Formats: sequence, C-alpha cells, structure tokens
Amino acid sequence: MADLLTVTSLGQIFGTMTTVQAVDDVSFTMPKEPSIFNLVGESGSGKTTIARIILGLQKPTAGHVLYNNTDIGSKDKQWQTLFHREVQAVFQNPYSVYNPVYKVDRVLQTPIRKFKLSRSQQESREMIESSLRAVDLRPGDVLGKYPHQLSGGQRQRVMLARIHLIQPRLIIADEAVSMVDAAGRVTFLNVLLDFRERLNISTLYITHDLSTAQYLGGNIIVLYKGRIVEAGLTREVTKNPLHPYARLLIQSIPAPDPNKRWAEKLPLNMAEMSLVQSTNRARCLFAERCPNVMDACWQTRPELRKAPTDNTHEVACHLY
Amino acid sequence: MKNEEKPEEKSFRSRLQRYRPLARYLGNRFGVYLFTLWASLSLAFILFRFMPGNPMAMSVTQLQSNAGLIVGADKAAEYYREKMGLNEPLHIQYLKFLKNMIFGPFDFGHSFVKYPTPVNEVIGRYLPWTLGLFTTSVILAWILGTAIGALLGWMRRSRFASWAIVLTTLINITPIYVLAVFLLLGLSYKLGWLPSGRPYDAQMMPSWKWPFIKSVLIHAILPVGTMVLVWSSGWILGMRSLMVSVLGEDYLAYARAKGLSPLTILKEYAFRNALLPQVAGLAIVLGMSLNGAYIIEIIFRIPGLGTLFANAAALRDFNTMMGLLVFSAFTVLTGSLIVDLAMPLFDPRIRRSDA
Amino acid sequence: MRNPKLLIGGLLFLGLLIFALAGPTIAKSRTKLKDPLQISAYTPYQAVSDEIPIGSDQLGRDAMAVFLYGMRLSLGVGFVAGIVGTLLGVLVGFVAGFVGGNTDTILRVLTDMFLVVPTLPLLMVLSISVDKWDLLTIGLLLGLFSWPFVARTVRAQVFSLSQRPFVDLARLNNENSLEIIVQELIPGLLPYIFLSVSGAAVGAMLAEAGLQILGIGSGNLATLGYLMAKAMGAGALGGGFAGQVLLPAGYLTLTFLCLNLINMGLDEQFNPRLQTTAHGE
Ligand SMILES: Nc1ncnc2c1ncn2[C@@H]1O[C@H](COP(=O)(O)OP(=O)(O)O)[C@@H](O)[C@H]1O
Ligand code: SF4
Ligand SMILES: [Mg+2]
Repeated sequence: MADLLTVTSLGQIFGTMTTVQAVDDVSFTMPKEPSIFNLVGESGSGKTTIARIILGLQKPTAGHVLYNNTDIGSKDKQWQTLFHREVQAVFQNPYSVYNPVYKVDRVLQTPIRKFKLSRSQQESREMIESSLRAVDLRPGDVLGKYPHQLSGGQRQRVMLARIHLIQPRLIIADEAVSMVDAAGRVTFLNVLLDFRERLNISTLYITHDLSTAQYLGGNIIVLYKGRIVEAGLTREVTKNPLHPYARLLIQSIPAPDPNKRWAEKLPLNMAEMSLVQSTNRARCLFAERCPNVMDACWQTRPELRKAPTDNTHEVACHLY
Repeated sequence: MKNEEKPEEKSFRSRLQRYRPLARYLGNRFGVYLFTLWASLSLAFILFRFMPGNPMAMSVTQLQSNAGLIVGADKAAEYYREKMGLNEPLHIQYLKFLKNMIFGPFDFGHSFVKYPTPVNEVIGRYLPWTLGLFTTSVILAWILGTAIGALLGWMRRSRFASWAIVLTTLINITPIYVLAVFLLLGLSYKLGWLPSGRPYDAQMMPSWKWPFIKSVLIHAILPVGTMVLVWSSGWILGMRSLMVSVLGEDYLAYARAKGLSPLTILKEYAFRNALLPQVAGLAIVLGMSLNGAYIIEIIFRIPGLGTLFANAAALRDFNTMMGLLVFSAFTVLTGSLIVDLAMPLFDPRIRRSDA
Repeated sequence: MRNPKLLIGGLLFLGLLIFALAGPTIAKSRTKLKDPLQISAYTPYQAVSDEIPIGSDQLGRDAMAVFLYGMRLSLGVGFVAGIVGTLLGVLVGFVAGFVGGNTDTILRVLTDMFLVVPTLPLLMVLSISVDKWDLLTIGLLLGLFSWPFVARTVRAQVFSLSQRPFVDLARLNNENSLEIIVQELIPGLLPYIFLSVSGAAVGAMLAEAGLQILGIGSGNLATLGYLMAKAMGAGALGGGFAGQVLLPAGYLTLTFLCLNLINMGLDEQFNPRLQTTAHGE
C-alpha cells in the first residue's frame, strides 16, 4: 500500500563558504491511515528545515519528498493546489504568522477563497464560525480583531481553526506550543488528537519537548545534528531508549528550555576530540559526548538499523 | 568547543583557520573597492565621450577656437587630437584611458582654467585647502557627534537631553548651505566676530609663519564650524538611538542584578556595540560629505577643489573636470576602504571566528 | 491621526504647498507689471524699496516675484526627483530583497557603489551637457542619483518582511508571488515608500540648490536655489539683499522640517506594530 508521505534521503546544506549540514540523509514514511509522528531533537537539529522542505517552502540539496507517491516539486498547478489543500502547517510563532496589517478574519477567509471551499458569503461565514467553535473559541471574541489584540493561545487556536476549515490530510506542527502557556498547550494537543479521531487528519508533530510528544503517543523520530538516531513507537522508545543520546533525552524530561542543548550536559571526550575529527562527518556525530564511545564510532557512520529488541524500533549506534 | 581543544591542537594551522573570516572580509572588501573604482573610471570615460556634445572633442575644438587668444593653443589642439587618439576606435581609447589611470602617468592634459598648467598640477595647487578643511571637519564631526550622542543616549530620560535632541534634529535637517548663510550673516556680517569670504587675510602672503597660520585658522572657524555642526548632528542622532536601544530596560535591570556598575555597561557594552554602525556609517557618508564640502568652499570662497570644479564648469574645462571627477571618486573610495579595513579593529566578530 | 508629529507636519506642509501654488497669483496681485517676472523691469540688484521688498535679481526682475514663482519650481523638482528616485529604488530594493541570492548580492554592491561615489561632481558634469535646463530634466537627473537610499531602505524592509512567517502562510494558502507581493508585502511597505518619496525629494531640492550655488543652472528655471545662489554670488549678504537668501532658505528649511516631521510620525505610527509582531522569534 502506498504511503501518505515518503521522505527519502533528505539532505540540506546551508551556506557556500562555511557550510552547515542541517539535514543529513533523513528518510521516513507516514502511512495512509491517520497517525501521529513526533519529530524530536534539540534546537538546531534540523527539525524546522525538514518541516519547511516537506511543506515545499524550501528545496532540499539532496533527496526528495513524495506525497501520495508524487514528488512535491511537481510543476502541475492542479496538483500543487491539491497538495497545499491537503498538507497544512501550524507554525511556532503565533505572533508573526499574522500579517499585522490585516484583521484576524483574513487568515480564515483566504483559504476559503483560494481553495474554493464555499459557494456563498453566508456559507463561508457559517464555516468560519463553526471552525472557531470547534477549537473552543467564541467567534465574537476573535472576529473583527487585529492580531495584536488577541492572546498567544487564542492566536494559535485560530490557526487550528484554519486547519479545521481546510480539513487537510496532514498537519505539520513545528514547535506549535512552545510559545503557548501550559493550559493552552494541553488544549492544543487535545485538538490534534481529536482531529485524528474525528477528521482523519495525520500530524507530524515537531518538538524539542519530549513530554508533549509522549502525551500524543504514536511514533517518534529522534534527531541529532540533522541525522535520525532512533525511531519507533513513542511508547516503546520512551520506555526502552537504546541510543545513548535518546537515553539522555528521556532522563532529562521535563526539559522545557528550548535554548538548551541537552547533549551539552555531557562532558566532551577530550582525548579523541581533535580539530580534524570535529569536521569529519564519516563518524557518529554524538561520539564527542557519548559515554559509551568506542574506536569504531570515530571511524564509521552508524547506519539506522532494526533494533535487536523489537522490530518496530530502529537505532543508529555501533552498540547494536 | 574552542576552549576544550588540546593545547597542541592550537597549532599554526588552527590559528590560521581562526583568522579565515578576517581574511575573507578584507579580501571581499578590497575586491569591491577595485570593482567600484573600475566602474567609476569607466563611468567617467563614458560620460566624457558619450555625453551630448562630446566633451572630449569639444575641448579640442575649444582649443582651436581659442587659437588666436592663447599662445600655442593651435599646436595644443593638434597635440591632443594625437594624444587623446580621438580618431582611434573606442575600445582602444578606453584601454589607453584605463592604462593611464591605473599605471600612470595619470595625465589629464592641460587645464583651461589655468592654461597651460597641467590638470594634475592645478589640482595639486587647490588640493591642500580641501584636504585640510574637509578632513578636519569629517573627523571632528565624527568624534564630537559620537561622544555627544553617547552622552545623550546615556542621559536619555533627562529633560535637557530631549531638548538637545530637538535642537540637533533641527540642525540635522537644515541644508548645509542654509546654515552656512545664517552663520555668515550672524557671526560675520551682523556681529563682525569672525572674518569671512576668504581663506586668509588679504594682505598676507602664504608662508609657514605663525601670523599667517593664525589667520588661516581664524578664517577656517566658520566653514569648519558649519560642516562640523551639520555633520555631527547626524552622528549624534545615530549614536543616541543606538545607545538607547542597546541600553534597553531589560539589559540595565539584568546588569543591576548582576551587580555591574552602570558606567561599566556604558563603556564595555553599550558604547562598544553602538560604535560599530557609527564606524560603518563613516565609510558611506564620505561621498556625501564631499558634496557638502564643495558647496561650503564656494560660499566661503576657499580656493579648494570645489571652487576649482565650479570654475572649470563655468569655462567648460573638461580636462580639469575629468581630473576632478576621477580624483574625487578615487579619494572617497579609498577613504571608505580605509574605514572598512579598520572595521575589524572595532568588531571582534569579523576578526575571529567562534563558529 | 493620533500622532501629533504627523498632524502638525501634514498641516504645515499643506500650508506650504498652497502658498507655493498660490505664489504666481500673489505675485500678479502685488505688481503693476503685466508679467511679474519681467526681465530688466529694474536695474540688477536695485536697492530694496516698497515696490521690491527684497530688491531685484541679477536680471533686473523683482526678486519677490522670483521667490513667489520659485517655490512651485523647487517643489516640482523635488516631486519629480522623488517619484523617479522612489520608482527606481523600490524596483531595485524589491527585486534584491525578494529574490535574494546572487541577484541580491549584485544589486547590493551596485547600490553601495552609487551610495559611496561622490555624486555632486558627477551631477555637475552631467548637468553641463544638458542644454534644456527645465524642471523635468533636472528632476529626472536628480532622481537618478537618489535611488540608492531608497533601494537600501526598501531592500532591508522587503527582506525582513519576506522572512516573516506570514509569507510562508501565504504560500501554504497557495498564493502566488504576485499576490504575496501585492497583498502581504506592499501594505507594510507603504509608509517606507512614502518616506522614500519625501526623502528623495528633500535630497533633490538640496542638491538642486547646491548645483545652483556651484554656478550650474540658468535663469530659465529660477528655483529658490537659483535666487539664493545668485544673490550670494553677488554679495547679497553684506549688501542689503539678505532677504533674497533668507526667504528661499527659510521656505526650503520649513519644507524639510515638515517632511521630516511627517516621516518621524509615520515611523512612530507604523514601526512599533511591526516590531511587536516580530519579537520573540
Ligand atoms: N536559512 C538558513 N541559512 C543558514 N543556516 C540555516 C538556515 N536555516 C537553518 N539553518 C541552520 O541549520 C541548522 C538547523 O536549523 P533548524 O532546522 O532551524 O533546527 P531546529 O528547528 O531543529 O532548531 C541550524 O544550525 C541552523 O543554524
Ligand atoms: S555510535 Fe558510538 S559514539 Fe555513537 S552513540 Fe553509539 S556508542 Fe556512542
Ligand atoms: Mg525550529
């Protein structure tokens, strides 16, 4: 059976003179049936870059993304319209997704117009109001207002109302709750779960906060310096993390500080870490911090392999 | 990760690597300089050959028509037709022009304003005044403006500072020649405090003796004062707003919490950070300042390059104008290159890589 | 209009504009001459009298009439140059900021180049070869030199705006580049575009008067700068003709003041909102 989303050998290098490999050979698939995938990693691990590539906002330097078996770079106008209708996003910053010049209503009206979701003024009005109610907002509280007149939580929920309106098949939610307070966070996550149950919408939930990923369940992909280091069922991976970096992550829940790099809690392996090694990418990138480091770790890159414990579980580490 | 490196790793190579961004910055900047210089030269060439009325040919004709008036002008005209190669194909003319401008002898031919003195020599004669007044004013304005701006930024909540800012803004938007006129009218004509209208006392002969130098200095007060007043106002406003944003409320609170003295923040943090854009601005503003300086020279009748330019323009002395155009561009571009090359001294981020 | 700077600047500028437009009518009403600008109606630089309150100019015209007519011309030069400079600058800045990449690099180097090269000598050389010295020509010429400033501001603004997530959202809404430019970017840019027009206009009026002081220009286009420059050249400051310098200087300065007030007002009105939405990224 064909998959909903197929990401193959994605790579992204930034810069010409000094380069940053933001994404390095990332592959995963999301199935047709409604599901939740969590993409977790510390800040700078390449999560946003992956999200932007999947959304077609940026072209990768390597690999490709298929949606329903069609490359998302397809030039077909009709297909692009369909793709945008079916793959939508909720961004991290609920302030700057709004153009300050316009009223909030516009983010709900534009998709209706562009995707021809309604036939009459009356119908779009009703659609907008019911979508707002679906995410626990009173239409009167938000319609006719300018973005700066709403709270962060309200703004993020208007974005969810927009999703409800468009009814896509896949949501990419990049750090969607990192700027929302704790109460708003739970509401938001519940709406995502509800969307999956009632509307059959899948979510690629991107976060640095493992506890929210655990709340959602589903599958998990752990990213470190642009590479997948571990993947599997969220329940399984959090119960029994295999990769030394994943273990560190699980130990440090709750770790809500988005600016912290978890790996830096570990000391550098001074002896092996040389200038030459620091630029070498044909190795395990976690080696300089890994408590279990071996010689092989400096010499070859560990491939993502089936874990010995469970065949839904994958890990990229020379220990296994 | 720098500080965790092993000592022996801090080898020559790694030290060299750390300075790569600096080298790249300097290289980039120099490349853009050469390119801009080349573009300016080419523009000058194009201007003088393609402008309606073809100035180059015109200057030859002019020489010929003056043949009866200026001794030897007919010979000069012949000489120029040869020398400028006006009959040669354009690309040859262009290459010869570039060669002349790059490898010398930087020959612009004879001037008409001071016929038959070569343009180079005439420029050399007028240059010291412009160089002296312009450089002094630019530097003085920058130093004063930056210092006063920092001070006003520091005192940002005082009543005095807000009035000073209003006044500075007013001066800033006043055209330089209007201010010059006001100052001349007030301080010179009405009050008679300061001399005006010439670079030094009419009775004196230029020399390196004190009375003459004193006369020059006194006569320079008004023109230099005007330029410093107008230009420093821009620096004051820029520096003040930079300081105010650098000294944001949060930062002060944080510093107080850390027990730093306000003066330390002013010196170590705010001033250093606000200084950068000020230095960068200097490189950009030089050209515009030269425009103002030329006008000031005319108003105060100082025999500098601005005056020479005006005289040359009045006489349609294209040789001299070409020389001045190339010379002004070269000076300003080199000036801003020097400022830009000095930038790393102020900006550790360009100097070293902490990547 | 809640902003006092915007209000005062706007009203004052309106007043100056009306004064400039009414100038010729006023000039006609206060003279017996058929043409208020009649040459040789008086001897050149004739002393101040009731009839000619600031004397006569070098061509023997009533200097007051020249002033009254000149306001319109000076504003006109500024207007033409402002529009031309802004159009060019917005185009360059927009392309650079929106397209990015190598295009941006090239355009930025070009802009900086024009910014750094001293323009007055260039302008002088160019204007000498202009044989028809009229409002449109000089406005165009000055406009050609004012675009780099505009391009810089617009580029920075477009760049910062097009990095905003709302542009990403627009793409997810399947909006094309044209829609994004017109609907998402231009509205936020409008205050900056106005700022550019007035900035370029001020610069052009300044430069025009500067050219006149350098002795370039003709009596055909008797702008305020012309009146000022010629009077100064004739030693008006010491010779009792200070009015011929002070009146135009005063008018120009007031105009600059108004435009600057409007600019500051616009900045205050539009910037804080843009900044509050940008914070926290
Ligand atoms: N447009 C860009 N240009 C250059 N570097 C970038 C760009 N976008 C991201 N990066 C770099 O790529 C890396 C991954 O960034 P990102 O995908 O934003 O990570 P995350 O979302 O996990 O924090 C970071 O080192 C970041 O600095
Ligand atoms: S591959 Fe080696 S260094 Fe990398 S995580 Fe596994 S054990 Fe540690
Ligand atoms: Mg991110």
